[in-house]
Formats: sequence, C-alpha cells, structure tokens
Amino acid sequence: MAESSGLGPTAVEVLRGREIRAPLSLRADVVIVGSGAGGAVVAREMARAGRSVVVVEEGPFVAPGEYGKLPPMGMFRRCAREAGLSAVVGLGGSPFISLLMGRCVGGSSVLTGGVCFRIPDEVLHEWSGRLGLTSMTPEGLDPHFRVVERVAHVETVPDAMRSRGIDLFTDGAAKLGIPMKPLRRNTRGCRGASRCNFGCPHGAKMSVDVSFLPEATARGALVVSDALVERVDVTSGVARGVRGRLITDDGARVPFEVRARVVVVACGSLHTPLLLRASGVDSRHVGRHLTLHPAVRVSALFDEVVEGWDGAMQPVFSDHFASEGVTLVGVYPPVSVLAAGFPGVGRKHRALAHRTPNMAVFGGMIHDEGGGSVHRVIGREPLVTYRMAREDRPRLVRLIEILGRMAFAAGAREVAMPVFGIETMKSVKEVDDFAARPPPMRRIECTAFHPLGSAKMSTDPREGVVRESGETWQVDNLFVADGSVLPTSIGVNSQLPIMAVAHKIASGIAADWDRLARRAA
Amino acid sequence: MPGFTLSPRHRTTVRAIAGALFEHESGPTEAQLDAVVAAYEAHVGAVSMQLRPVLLLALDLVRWLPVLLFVAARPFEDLHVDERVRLLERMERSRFTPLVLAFVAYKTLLTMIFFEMPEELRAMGYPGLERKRWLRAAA
Repeated sequence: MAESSGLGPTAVEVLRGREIRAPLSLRADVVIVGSGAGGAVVAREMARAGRSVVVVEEGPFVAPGEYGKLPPMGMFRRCAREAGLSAVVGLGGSPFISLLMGRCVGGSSVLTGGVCFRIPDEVLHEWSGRLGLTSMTPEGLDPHFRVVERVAHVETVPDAMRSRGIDLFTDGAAKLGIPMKPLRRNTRGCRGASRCNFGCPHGAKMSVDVSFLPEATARGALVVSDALVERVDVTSGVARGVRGRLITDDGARVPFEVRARVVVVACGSLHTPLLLRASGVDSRHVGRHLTLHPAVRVSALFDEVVEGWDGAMQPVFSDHFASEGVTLVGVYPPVSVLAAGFPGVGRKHRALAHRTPNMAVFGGMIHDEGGGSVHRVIGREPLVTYRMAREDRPRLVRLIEILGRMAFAAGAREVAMPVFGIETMKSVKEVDDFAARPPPMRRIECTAFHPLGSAKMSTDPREGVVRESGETWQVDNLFVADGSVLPTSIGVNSQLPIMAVAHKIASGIAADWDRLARRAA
Repeated sequence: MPGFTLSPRHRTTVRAIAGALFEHESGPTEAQLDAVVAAYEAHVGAVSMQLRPVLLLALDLVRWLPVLLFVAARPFEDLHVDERVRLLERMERSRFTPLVLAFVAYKTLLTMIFFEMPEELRAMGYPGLERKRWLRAAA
C-alpha cells in the first residue's frame, strides 16, 4: 500500500471514556494499549493493513486546538503524568531526577520538544552485533524511519528560526572549537513559540495526535480515552484482549474489556512493565535496565536583550563530545519554567526573573549506562529508582562544565548552574572550581524525557522480555511497541526511534497476520 | 476523579510559602496569593493518590520547620515574611537532601504558577505568544 504524505486527515476522533456510564465491551483484531509515539504508529499501520483496531488510552483527550488556550501548568494538569511532577528516586548518591511523560491521547509526543534523530549507527551496530538483533541495523530500520519521518513531517530547523539565545549558544561553542549542527524536528509551519513541551499552541508540532492517529481513525480505528487497562487477558499462553476501568470524573468504577486477537502494549517504559507483570509476564528483566538520558540546563545572563523565546525551541545540537557520552542542545523553555530554576528567594529571585529577557539557555544530556528500575507499589503509579552508573557521574559534571564554559565564552555576565543552593557563577574561574571539586550528585538538578529499556528486546528469553519481533517471550500474540523494548540507551532523543521500531513491529504483525490469527482462534 | 480540596491548614501554609517566595516591595498581592493557592489546589488534585500525600507531607515539613530547626516555637505561617524568606533560603542551601527536595518541589511548582500570571509575565517583559522571527523568516 502506498504511503501517504501525512497530509491526510488532520483530526483524530475519540470515544471519551469519562462520558460512558455503562460497562463497555468491544471486539477488534488488534487492541493497542497507549496512544503515544509507539501505539499511534502501530494503530495507523494496522488500520492500513485492513485490521480492526481499538486504541485504549489512560489519559484524557485534549483537542490540539486547545493546547494554545492552556498555560504551561494547565497543560501539565491535563496532559502530563502526575501533572508534570513525576520523579525518579536517586539511589546511592544519585541525583533526584524529574521525569516528564504524557498522559493523554498522543502520549508524550504531545509534550516533546519535537527533536528527531535516527538511532546512531554505532548503537545499531552494537544491537545487531554484540546483542545479535540482526534486523536492527541502519539498513534494516531505514525503511521504517523513512515512513515515520514522512508521516511526522520531519524537517530541518531553518537558520532563520534560531533565536538570539541560540546564536549565543552557537557563538560560545564556536569560541571553544565546538561545532554545532542543525536539528531536525517533526513540525510544519513552526512559529517559534518555544513551548513545544507544553503542547504546540499553533498546531505546528506533528505529535501523533495530529499525524498518525487521524489517519488511523479515518481508516476505522477506534480511540478510547480515559480507559485504564489493568491487565491483559491470557488463556493457554495466548493474549486474548485487555480489561480495565474507565476513569470517570466522579470516581465511579465503570469496567471495560476489549477482546482481540493481538494485544500490543505501548504504555511507555514506566507503565508497560507494570501491565506486563500484572498480566503474568514475570521475566526478571521486566522493569529493569531503565535508561533516562539525564539532562541539565544552565541559564546565562547577558548584557544585551536576548528574547530567547522568539525562535524554535530546539534548533541546534552538538555531538562533538559523543565519545564522552555528552550531547549539547540549544534550547529555550517557557519563561515560568526558566524562572523556577533561578536560585534565591523573594527579591533576589525576582531580580533574576525580571532579567529573563536577557537570558539564554544552554542545555545538554548524557548518554547513560542505565541503572533504573520500575517497581510496583500501592496504586497505579510505579516507584522508579535510578542508581547512576559510576561512569555517568563524571559525564554529568563534564556536561555542566562544558555548558558553563560555553556561556562565559559567549559573553555571559552570570550563569545559573543546575546545582541546588549555589549562587550564580560570575566567572569561568568558578566553573573551573566546580569541575575540580564537583558537588555531590544529589545536589545536581536533573530532568529526563527519554525513559527507555524496561522490557528490552533480546535473542534469548533469559536476556530480555520481547523477541526481535516485539512479541513477548512468555505470552503469544502479546507485543510491546514502545521505548521499553530498546535494549540499550541510544544517546539521542527517543521519539523518532520509538516510532520507527513500532513501525517495524507493526509491519511484522501485519505480515504474519494469518499465523497470529490462527493461533488466537 | 472527585474534586480535591486543601485543608485550611495546608491552604495557609501554601499561602505563607508563596508570600515569602515572591516577596518584593509591592507584592505579592492578596489576589495573587489567592490565585497561587487555587492553582496549587488544582494541581495537587490532578496528581495520583500516591504522590498527593507526599506533597502534603512536604508541606507539613515546611510548616513545622521553624520548630524542627529551633528557629521559633510556632508554625511557618506565623513567622514574619523576612523570617520566612530566611528559612526558605536555609532550606535551599541545606545539606539534608529531604529538606532541599521539599524546597525545590514547592519552589518549582509555585514559581511556575506565579510567573504564569499575565501581570507577572508582562512585568518580566514577556510578550505572550506573539513572535517576530517567524514572520521575518516567512517574509
């Protein structure tokens, strides 16, 4: 079947679970749990293959046209898991890391910066070589990347959309001999509002609720929002559907079930392990091997007016320090978020906040070795712990050091570092001191946006949770298609890789449909 | 999910924290503090039943911090605003991780709420969603 250009249907149709008052029972060829970057891609692909599809999403449906009407905190309340307050508990002196994840139709794709990378070749060489995942090569994934790049409208951010803050970021880098490259993002008609992480106010970011899901629903897929799946029904070792409850405004328990021949779990790296465990998948690898890409930012104060908000949120990056596990990214968050990171209280804090127009933001992340685990506790949210690997700790310090040096090289007067309880730095000498005597990791302010690897792919059931096809080793016709299947950290933003791997898994299901359907009969 | 309502005690503590965090020569105003408390309540109402008690426990920690740190024998909200500012600064610099995390959680949440207010955004020089660069690029 020919691929569309992504210019097809633009509105996703959703059955809102919170408006349903009676038990709901549905039947489909494929039920997909989660409507984010993985689930939406699978939904579109299966619908294109002529299968009946039901997508169940725990979060609400917020129409893309509403994003611009909601302030950042309003978007967090409606669309982010834990209203944006999710966090990872650092163990063994590791930092406490805030973690942003979507919980709405479109999932985390609604709350990403839109940055699109392919999985680096060296990572794929490790997967296909050392790990034996022979189809996970640059060539093997290329056709899948091509499709998702087209549908999500991945394009290079033009130079003209770089804010003055990004110019300063690149100037500082250039003075230190650090080359920058333009980023690619899934946008169409970006107006440079610099609030992609809170839903694009102009509908320009091609999150899956405006790219993949509209075509899926136009082809007959049904998306049900406010529907929390509590377990996968498994009989004789074969997945038969899912069941759970609708999330209603008054707390009334309204059950639902979807009978299906194939079940695809795409709840993300924190909730997929919980659902797998609740459904009897008890591999010791479920919930382990979580990687995060811990990220930091420094705020640099300049004499000139920067107005860093006027431009694309993330237009450039540098992989100059890739061998050290460090990626640099030019970025700019909403001003209220920026102000939250300034040190001080009262007038002192306000004085900095009122200099926001003179601020540029220098960001980056590390390619971590893992050390995260997802644990089931009371309630529906997991406890996530992270023991930062020994080799990642100096990487984080190195990243902050580089960002601080770049800021002063660009001419910054003061730099607010991502360390709790320290004053702004006023000279590069203070950065030297920071690098020579770094603070305890617990004092470093970290954020993560890319949880991956908690139900990893393997060639041996003793080494992972799913096969190369995405099907779980333990339950037939039960597939996982989200970031949790990636077997190692990838060192780059994960949205596009998740889409491509999900597309590969969906293509495999479509190609193997007759066998899967016979097994489910 | 049924609506969540802060207890009067927690409402008073949030208001006292916000009053210190955003203290300046002419503010924050009573209306701003009311708005912060209302937005905080809405936010806490949107988190899970697991996280909510943690946030409220952190609030209680701040409330009794003057006693725990032998600063004063009365709760946080009964301190003068200058004392509250000093106490929050002490929390920010503390070597005791739970204290720092409680501070950071509340500072982050309340700051994002406060600096979303239109009058504060204007005072910061932020023009809203109006942009010039993309228009120039389009031209």
